[in-house]
Amino acid sequence: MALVMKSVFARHISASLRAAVVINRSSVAHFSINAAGKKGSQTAPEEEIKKSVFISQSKDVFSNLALEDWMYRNMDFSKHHILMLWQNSPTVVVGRHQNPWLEANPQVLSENGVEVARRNSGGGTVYHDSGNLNLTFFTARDVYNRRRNLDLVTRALFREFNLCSQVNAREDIVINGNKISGTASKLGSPNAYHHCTILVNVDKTVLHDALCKHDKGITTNATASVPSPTVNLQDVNPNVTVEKLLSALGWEFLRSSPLSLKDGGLDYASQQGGFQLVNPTEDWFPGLEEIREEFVSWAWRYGKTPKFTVSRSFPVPDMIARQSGVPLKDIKEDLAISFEVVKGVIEDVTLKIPPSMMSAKGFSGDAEVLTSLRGKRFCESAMEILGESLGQSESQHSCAEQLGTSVETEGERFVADCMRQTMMAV
Amino acid sequence: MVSGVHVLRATQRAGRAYQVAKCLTNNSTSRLSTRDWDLCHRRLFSSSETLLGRKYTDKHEWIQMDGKIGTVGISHYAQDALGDVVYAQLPDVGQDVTQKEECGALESVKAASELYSPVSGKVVEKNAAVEEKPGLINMSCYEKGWLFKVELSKPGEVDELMDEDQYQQFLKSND
Repeated sequence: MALVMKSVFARHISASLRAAVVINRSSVAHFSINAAGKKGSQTAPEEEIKKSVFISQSKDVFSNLALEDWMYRNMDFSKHHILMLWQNSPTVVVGRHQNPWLEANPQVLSENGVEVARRNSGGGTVYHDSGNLNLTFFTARDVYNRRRNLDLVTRALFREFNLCSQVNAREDIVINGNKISGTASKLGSPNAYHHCTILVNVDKTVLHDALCKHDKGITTNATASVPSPTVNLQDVNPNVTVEKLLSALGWEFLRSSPLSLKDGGLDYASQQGGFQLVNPTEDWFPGLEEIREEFVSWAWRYGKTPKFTVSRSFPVPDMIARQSGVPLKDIKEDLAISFEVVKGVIEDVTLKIPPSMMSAKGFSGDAEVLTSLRGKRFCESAMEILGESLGQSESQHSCAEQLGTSVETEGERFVADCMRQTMMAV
Repeated sequence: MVSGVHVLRATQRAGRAYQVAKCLTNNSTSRLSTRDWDLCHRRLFSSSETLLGRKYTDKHEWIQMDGKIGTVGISHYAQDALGDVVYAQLPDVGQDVTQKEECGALESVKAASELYSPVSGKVVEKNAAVEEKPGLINMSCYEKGWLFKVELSKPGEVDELMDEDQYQQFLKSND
């Protein structure tokens, strides 16, 4: 996607469009756009760096991710550090190299109207809703420092709410060992960003159910999430609200010097760029809509999934096994199914058919459905095909029954049903 | 000790005898620590690499030419700065890459770091072993941990890159 986006920007960030941003939108007017895109510039001395807080007015995760990416690619942070504060409607956000089928429970998500999004940074899966606040710290790559940002957050929590929190070895923020904030980042040239979540009063039932893991039979080398016990800030201090936290973090950012984090108090804060309300729209940020479309696309959300295999095995039903003539007590092997999924598409289906089934009268071991599944998107399109196939074989089945040849389709029906179950479990 | 002598010879050629002598002195009193070995290795690779003509970018990728094909990886400094690489997203075979443009990413400690191609051309091979086992990048960044091979469309681009000595100077100036 990175490559697609780059060509998008080359087209959009022409001089005239840059001017449009500057003239029409005074709130972002004093931020220079990094026209060359790739020309790295060293960060200015600390006293020359100004700071500003952007507050996104959107709760659409795709617009917010697009804004983050737009800023990362187009702005010059050598003299301006920006903290973007944003919230999303209920969403599961997976890391750049993760498997959404493995990390989230699709059924829970659809029942609760929860979106699935993939971000550009590394790390594990998080759940967002309006009880969660997201922070993105933008700097030039040469002064990127995750620990500094996290120290700023813990300092704000103490100053405003008297909360004692710590940054642990995984760079999560914890209170009494429970995680209140997860971190991830993206490093490029010349820019970098670090973003983190802060749980204020997230719906923990949905959080838990949406991310709850059970054995899905998936094998992959995709980045794995590290589940941790979490706590809402409100459960530690009932005074914390998202609004108060937003204000506390914004002020802490503005009053702290950009590199050494020296507290300059309100005098220093008043010399900074202040709070800017921004709308992640095409009008404000030319080219943003196209980036948003990328984030929404199936190709990015699911197609980016690292190669994986889903495997499951099923005992052969007596009815089929009996046809083989092998005594039931001697049948030990199961039917094993495995799908190999590359770029979100089924590349290969492997069936291990036990001898008891192979010798069953009429079963060819080459279910037609196998061929039709190859090249189909995992797993909705594939499920449709199986649905059709099962429907077909059901009608064949009833015809066959009348003709007294039910065994032939029985085996294939069983195979198709097992395939469906394998996918449904994911 | 045999390998220690080897390191010393190689390093003398590169004019860095003092540092390795220090490294070997440590060895005479106690076993070499991992860090010492690491330093020795770096110097050994460094000096032999001067002879092999490995070139570097300011974003810490290296490229080594063999005819029209260049093998690309990341430097020891880069792998050390990244920490344990847990996922390698490499460009696909057949993909066109452009010098200084993003062509993949390496993930470590919850950070996705963009890979920038040192040259322009077409990817002819990627290191499947690294995709399966990204830790190879940390263990052997110049050998088993190579990332992809590219057929150069603008061979002159290699000449713009830093050689071993220039890259070492570049690292020092950025310290």
